[in-house]
Amino acid sequence: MPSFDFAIGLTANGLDAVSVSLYQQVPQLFKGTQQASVSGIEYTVDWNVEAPATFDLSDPAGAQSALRAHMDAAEPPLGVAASSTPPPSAALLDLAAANAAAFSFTYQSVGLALSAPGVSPAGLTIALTATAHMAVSGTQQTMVIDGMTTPQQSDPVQNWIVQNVVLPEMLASSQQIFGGVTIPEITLPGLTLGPPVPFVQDNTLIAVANLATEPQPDVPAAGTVDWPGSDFFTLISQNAFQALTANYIATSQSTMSDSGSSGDHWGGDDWSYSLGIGSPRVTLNADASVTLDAAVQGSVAASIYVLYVPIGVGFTAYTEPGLSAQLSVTVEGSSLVVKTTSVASFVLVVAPSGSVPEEIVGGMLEPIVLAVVAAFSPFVSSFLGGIQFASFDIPTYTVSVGGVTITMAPTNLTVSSVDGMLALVGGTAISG
Amino acid sequence: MTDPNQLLMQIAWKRLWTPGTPYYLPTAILSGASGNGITVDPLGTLSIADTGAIPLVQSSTWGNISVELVNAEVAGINTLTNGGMVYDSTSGAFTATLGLTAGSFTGDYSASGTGVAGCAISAASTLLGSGADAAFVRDDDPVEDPNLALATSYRDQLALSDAGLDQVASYYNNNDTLNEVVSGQNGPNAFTAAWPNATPTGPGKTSGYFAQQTSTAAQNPNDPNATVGDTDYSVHSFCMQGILLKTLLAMSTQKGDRYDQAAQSTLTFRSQVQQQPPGPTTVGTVMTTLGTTPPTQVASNTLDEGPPAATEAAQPVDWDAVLQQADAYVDETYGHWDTMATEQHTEWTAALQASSNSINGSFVDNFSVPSAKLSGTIQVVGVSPNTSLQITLSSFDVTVPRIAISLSGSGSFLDAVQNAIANANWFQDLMAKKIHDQLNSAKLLSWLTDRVNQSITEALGNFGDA
Repeated sequence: MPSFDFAIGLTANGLDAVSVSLYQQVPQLFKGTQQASVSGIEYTVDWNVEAPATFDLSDPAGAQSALRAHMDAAEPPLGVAASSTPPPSAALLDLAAANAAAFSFTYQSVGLALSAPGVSPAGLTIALTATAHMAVSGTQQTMVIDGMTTPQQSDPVQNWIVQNVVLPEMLASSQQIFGGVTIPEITLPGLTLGPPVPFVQDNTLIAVANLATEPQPDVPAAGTVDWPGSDFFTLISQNAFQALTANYIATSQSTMSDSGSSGDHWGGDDWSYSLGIGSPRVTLNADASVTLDAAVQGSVAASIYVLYVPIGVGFTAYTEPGLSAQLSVTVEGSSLVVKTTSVASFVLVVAPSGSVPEEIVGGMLEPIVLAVVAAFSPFVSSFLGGIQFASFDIPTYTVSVGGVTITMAPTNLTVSSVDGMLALVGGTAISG
Repeated sequence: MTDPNQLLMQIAWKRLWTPGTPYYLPTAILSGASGNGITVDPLGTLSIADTGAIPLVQSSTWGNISVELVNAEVAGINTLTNGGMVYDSTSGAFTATLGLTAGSFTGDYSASGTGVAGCAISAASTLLGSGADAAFVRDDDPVEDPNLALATSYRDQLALSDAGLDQVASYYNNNDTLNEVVSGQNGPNAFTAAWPNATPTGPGKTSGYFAQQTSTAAQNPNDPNATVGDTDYSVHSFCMQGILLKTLLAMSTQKGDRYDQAAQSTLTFRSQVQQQPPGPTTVGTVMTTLGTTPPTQVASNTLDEGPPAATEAAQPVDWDAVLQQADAYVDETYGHWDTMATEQHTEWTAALQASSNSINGSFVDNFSVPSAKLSGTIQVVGVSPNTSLQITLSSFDVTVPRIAISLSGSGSFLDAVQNAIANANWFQDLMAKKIHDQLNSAKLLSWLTDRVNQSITEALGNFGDA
């Protein structure tokens, strides 16, 4: 079973959909003009990105190598390394790159038009490949564009212009476009997740996280998790689902109490009870349903008076068999909703504990037992039968570029089971 | 822009939350750890200095209740949770979000009650001699006594007008001093001896007698048959005012001290009472006069135009005769009351000791902090090529919830102390502040700084090229 509590994944197709939408919504960022002086000749360079970028998540190791190369090429200072101190060592840059959730995207067709007085106009089409990674800040993830490359051109003038004019401009433009892609903090009702750990695996950009009370997870070894192949997915572990359910029960009206008396101190009783539903244990089933097992918790106590002599009596309350309910998990609107589908029948047993004279058990305690059973048993059935809570608010993601906001929402979501985890899989819909 | 330091710091930070390393905070805080050639001492105790006695409340049942906390400490720091870190490579600023799921504040306490005390209103009610019930009137629950509830109601109504507010303010300005004298909290005095016993207008006409008259009138503010302010009433009032005045002046050691100021306030009462309708009057008329006429105009009415016409059939009070009779009574009997008070003092001292209480035990409160900010800066230190990243944590911005400690023990005095704490938000805030200070203590920040730096060193080693 995977060693994380929550995962969220997005394939290259999902990222490409965002790219297409951005290309359509902010076309002004995909074309431009720049002046360049080469050997004393002033060139006018017009470029036009003719198709949206396409993402490649198939070669994370290659992307990490590219990221490492961009680190070497970057102008110092890097980070806190001021001019008087060295940048991180080569070994540390290796470490940084090897731990980055790196990937690439490509503009397959960028049209260039070069013109200068007295020089014949020239046109060419090039491909640009950018390297990017997901940076974690707090509990958010942001896409960082690290660098951009293009194949060498045979014409030295054209190559110089492409490498020194077009590439920097397109890098800055891409940073403006995709640098706004942020994956916000994932929230589960009543729970707090620790910081995410992003990585690229199986052609998917994935982030895993644990409950904040747990250690930060490691990146799962390749091949150890059967990631869903859908454009968008989330996985919720049994541990997280257990915590969600326990939180729901703890914050719901899952206990009841009462007290009463009969007779007087010549011969009578005082009784009280405070009982609730506790010790929830959740099992995720292969058909994506959930089995909830629980137990009765609390106390029942009474004082029996015989000729002013109080006799304290404790009780044990339990059910036979233990409490059990089947829950369904379905997508309703933008929520993943958990509901009861059935409750297993049970018998509530309230029995005196310890040593109690038989004549008291037989005579005076029976009304107390009957009163507790009559009140609490239907309460338990009603509570278990009425479980309904939103376990997860399905996120939407927004990108704001050039005054335009684009929203990406998961769509056509279905619930299934993957590697013992609850999986929510589907596609993505872009609006904006 | 690519920032390798951001990636590197994430690696180092994650080491702090990886079980099995010497830096894994939940374990290292509690038990210390060793490995990778280093030994980490546990964080140890975050102790809070003994508080000394903190006054909580004045209770007419228990006196001045105070509590002292000793051997207090903040624990549960090992339940810190990781909410991620943010590193600004431009400024070197480091901010981590941490939670605390099961913090605790524990220690020992001792609580004491000094014995009977009370505010002036309730003490006066007690002194009226209305029986044992009055002795158990609680200041923090005055509605238990219908007369006090009525007094409170009229106080609030008085405060709605300028003239009434003037009287109420005068009362509260000197409340502590009047409280001390009227309640006899520092021992019997001439006033406390005279108040329940003096009968200047005839046998049976004690303060309790006139208080009952007042109570009846106050409950029937517009009944012409329920009035206050006849000659006997006025004489008794001025006798008590005179004895209170002399008692305060006897306590005063220099002009202008609080006893002197309180004495002057009783003179204000004298002048304002004289401005009321000169004869038996309903409480409604008194309230109307005070409520519709500012103090200066009340005086002006009295001097120039006469008081408002009383609607009741009044027997006019001869103020000169009243004052003369009262002053003579005070001069004649004050020594008697003073002597009686001296004799009562020994008995009072024994009673006070008998009614004082103390209790001690342990206390605890559990608290959680969903989100707190741990801040500091990261620098490159050392001489090239032997440089490394070093963090200095400077603050832990944590909001500690109000701390309403639970005390061990049982009994009605403990209940009173516990109730006082439960209703004293300022005390709960004070405890939260003490915990906050510990969470921002140099000890904790220094310990955490060492752990983060050890993690950085282990994960990253030298920063620059060797």
